[in-house]
Amino acid sequence: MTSMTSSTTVNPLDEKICEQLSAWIDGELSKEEALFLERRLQHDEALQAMYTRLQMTSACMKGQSARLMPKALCSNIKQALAEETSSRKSRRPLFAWAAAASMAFAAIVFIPSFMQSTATPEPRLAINSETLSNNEIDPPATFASADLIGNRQLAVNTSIVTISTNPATPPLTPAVSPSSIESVEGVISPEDFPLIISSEKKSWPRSVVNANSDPALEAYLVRHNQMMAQDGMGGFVPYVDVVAQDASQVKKDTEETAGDNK
Amino acid sequence: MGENELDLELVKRVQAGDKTAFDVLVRKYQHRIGAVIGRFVHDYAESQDIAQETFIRAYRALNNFRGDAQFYTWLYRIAVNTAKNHLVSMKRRPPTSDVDAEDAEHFDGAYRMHDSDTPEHELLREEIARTVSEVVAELPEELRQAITLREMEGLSYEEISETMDCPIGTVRSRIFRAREAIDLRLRPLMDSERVRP
Repeated sequence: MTSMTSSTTVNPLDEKICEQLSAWIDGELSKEEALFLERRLQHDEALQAMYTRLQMTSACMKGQSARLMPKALCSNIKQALAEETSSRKSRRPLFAWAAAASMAFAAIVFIPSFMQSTATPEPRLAINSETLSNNEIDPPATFASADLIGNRQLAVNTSIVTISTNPATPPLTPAVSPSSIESVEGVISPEDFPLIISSEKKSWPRSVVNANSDPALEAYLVRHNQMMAQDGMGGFVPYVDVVAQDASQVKKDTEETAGDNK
Repeated sequence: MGENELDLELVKRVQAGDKTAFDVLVRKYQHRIGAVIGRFVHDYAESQDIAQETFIRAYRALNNFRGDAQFYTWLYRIAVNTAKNHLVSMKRRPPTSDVDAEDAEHFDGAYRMHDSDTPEHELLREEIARTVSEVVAELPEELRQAITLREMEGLSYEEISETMDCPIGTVRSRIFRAREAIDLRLRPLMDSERVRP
């Protein structure tokens, strides 16, 4: 029988690996040796084939049932798992962006309404000039609102009035009748915000800027400013003077000033 | 270290992100899982697909494996469920009776399990079994005793060394020599194309 075992054709190195494989199958290999063998098993086809044969031998001796699976099964599983992992990784940034976009959208939509409901305890009303002139309602006490809302102390005749009288431009304000003092609770866009127009004349110098600006944009910015002022926020304060210009009035003022100087 | 401890160690490595360890588990159990699936699905190509699906499902669920049960038992259940689901999806009726993993391993109706194989596979299996039996019978006494104590009695090398009153290194060598002798006779049978249809 000794002749049978000695007749094997494996060289000493191969024999050592094969003996390690045998011990590894039995769980009798040291951790370091096991790791080395497992790595080699990944790539060494001859070792893989021997492992399969030893498994079949073991199954036969133990009376276990075994069904030979093809060589390709392991590599197919490995490939399928690699593809699954890579597709999951490639989807991850997309999910992150989608989540970030959802959060941003939620913040844009819900935070203003949340602030409206918590910022000021008094009811927020869209008021017109008549109401204010009757001194029935005090304007909100914000710096920005003081610019635009028809406050007697800070009376400002905004350009909106002038622009709105221009037949070439669409009306910039929704019709706000004296009786239509309505709550603006829930208004989330400046486009829907009822514009507050002062009936009093301007009381401070106006800046002179290019009069060829877009009236619709100006109206939007003014509404935005009023709307934010009602929420206790600053709005487009720096824009107030810009959008509130009255080009014709500015021209007239300039001419009068020039005439006075003469 | 017992088989369960070895498997648990491999599972922990997979859970830690070592894919080589999962490959080892696949190589270790693919043929036994193939036999389990063969009880449900006769077609060889179909059973390969189910085996692949079984291991992929196992990999996905491996983080939930806590080692309460043996890894093979856990894998066995996944294989059975995957095979049954496959039959249902193909509008074929899965068997109503089931066999536990432990019982299935030594199910003497193992022959009944083999019914699903092709005649070529069945012939090969019988040939392998006969060859192994013949070679073991021809082995020198010390080799036969060592391999028998290991494979049939499940003793560790230390226990075998005590039983045979020899060093552990000698046990390791004897077991390898026995396996090598068997392998030498099995190689022509299993390297042929017919075992890999």
